Amino acid sequence: MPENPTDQASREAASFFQSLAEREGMAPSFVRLQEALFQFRRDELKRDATPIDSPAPAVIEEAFGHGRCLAQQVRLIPPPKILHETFQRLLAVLFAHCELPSSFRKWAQGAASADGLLENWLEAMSSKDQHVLAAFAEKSGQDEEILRWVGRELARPFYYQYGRIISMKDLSAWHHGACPCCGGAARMARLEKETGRRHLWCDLCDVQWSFSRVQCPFCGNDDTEQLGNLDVEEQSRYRIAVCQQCEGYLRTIDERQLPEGIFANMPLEDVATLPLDFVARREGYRQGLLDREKENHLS
Amino acid sequence: MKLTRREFLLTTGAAAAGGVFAKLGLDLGPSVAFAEALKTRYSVESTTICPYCGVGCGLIVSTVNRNVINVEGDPDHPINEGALCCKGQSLYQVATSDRRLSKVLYRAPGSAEWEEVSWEWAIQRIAQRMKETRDTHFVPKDDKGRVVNRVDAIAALGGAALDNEECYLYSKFARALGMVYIEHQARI
Repeated sequence: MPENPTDQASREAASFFQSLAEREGMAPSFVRLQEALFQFRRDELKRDATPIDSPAPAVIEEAFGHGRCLAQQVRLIPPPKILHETFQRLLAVLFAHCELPSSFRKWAQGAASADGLLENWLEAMSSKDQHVLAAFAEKSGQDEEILRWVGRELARPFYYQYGRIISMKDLSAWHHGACPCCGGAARMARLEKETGRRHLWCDLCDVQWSFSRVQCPFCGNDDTEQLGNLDVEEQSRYRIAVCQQCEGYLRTIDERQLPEGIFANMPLEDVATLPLDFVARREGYRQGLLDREKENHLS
Repeated sequence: MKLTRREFLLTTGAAAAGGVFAKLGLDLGPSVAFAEALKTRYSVESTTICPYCGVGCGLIVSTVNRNVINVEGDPDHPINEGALCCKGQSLYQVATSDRRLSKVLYRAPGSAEWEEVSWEWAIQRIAQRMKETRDTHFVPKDDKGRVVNRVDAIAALGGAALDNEECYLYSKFARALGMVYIEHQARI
């Protein structure tokens, strides 16, 4: 009897993380955390097929028709009960795999049962104004960077579901650098095996969309004199697309360099290419960001 | 602001380079050290058009220090969407092959040897031979006595690498000389 695809995928992911932990340049503790978070997301997605209110097709059409992402059209906050239960499970994962500051632990445990706090947190992260989250952090007495990261991990299982809905739509007319679901900046890209076409990938929503090879997805610059790639000499499948105008970078995997029949698994590649973040920063580039005046995103 | 290498090393492990993971008690030292050893090569991708036929397929040319390292079809080009014919696929050789001619070679009538000549000499020689051919074979009137002012001994076959305006001038030039056998290689 053929193996259940879900079980097969889980087994392959476990094998991947096992080999990744043994790979040079990967901190085992980081890999273990990422594996636990990967499993957490898979478990959340299995729990209920539609714990979120699926946006009506007409809503999505209207958003795309005006060049807006879904998050600009509807409020993407899950039902409170589900949000709180998910947060409890996320905390269990985080407490087991990283050393969160004690102040955050205490605050998080309170937040898990407080009315409206988690929703306010996610709303603050979705705000166009980056100072909103800073104000939330200050009011909460917590580190903004930790709030941003934990909040993102909390949002991911839900945004994955929104992303699945979006991914069923025809995204060929979406020519923006921002994710069509959350409006955020792409975290990685892949060059398609058959055609070399570039597809951007959002790690929050697990959505991919095609985008020009010779244009910066962050600032829109299409002057090829200012665009380039840092080709990783020992790993021909990887390159880092860079823009001299905004100094942003984007890790990219070239599927054409993978063995026949093998395609990129973007969530796993996101973990495996952590060293490339350091390479890019070594060369003077920074995580690409969209114009926050124009976009509404979690980042 | 671009971090210098020194600044990068100084901030390693702190929020700037390790990011939030350092605050979560995760030691990313192995990744940082591994990244330090990775070598990169800066390449540029430029778009252009295939120089051959009139289809005008889009290309992406990758260069390192202005030396071509790769030529591929442009997947975003509406005409070819990344596909290339066999001539386009071999364009890399046009840029890099050591067999590509870089000097004008001339083989005199009856000779078995190629000799290197200058562009100036070659262009002058070509113009001279065109004039000689035209003067020899110019037909002012056909066999019915009609004024035709044509030369049948020269044909034009160019050129796929010419744009519309250049083709217009080229055809005017040919007709001004009296040529009537005028074709374009892209049609063939």
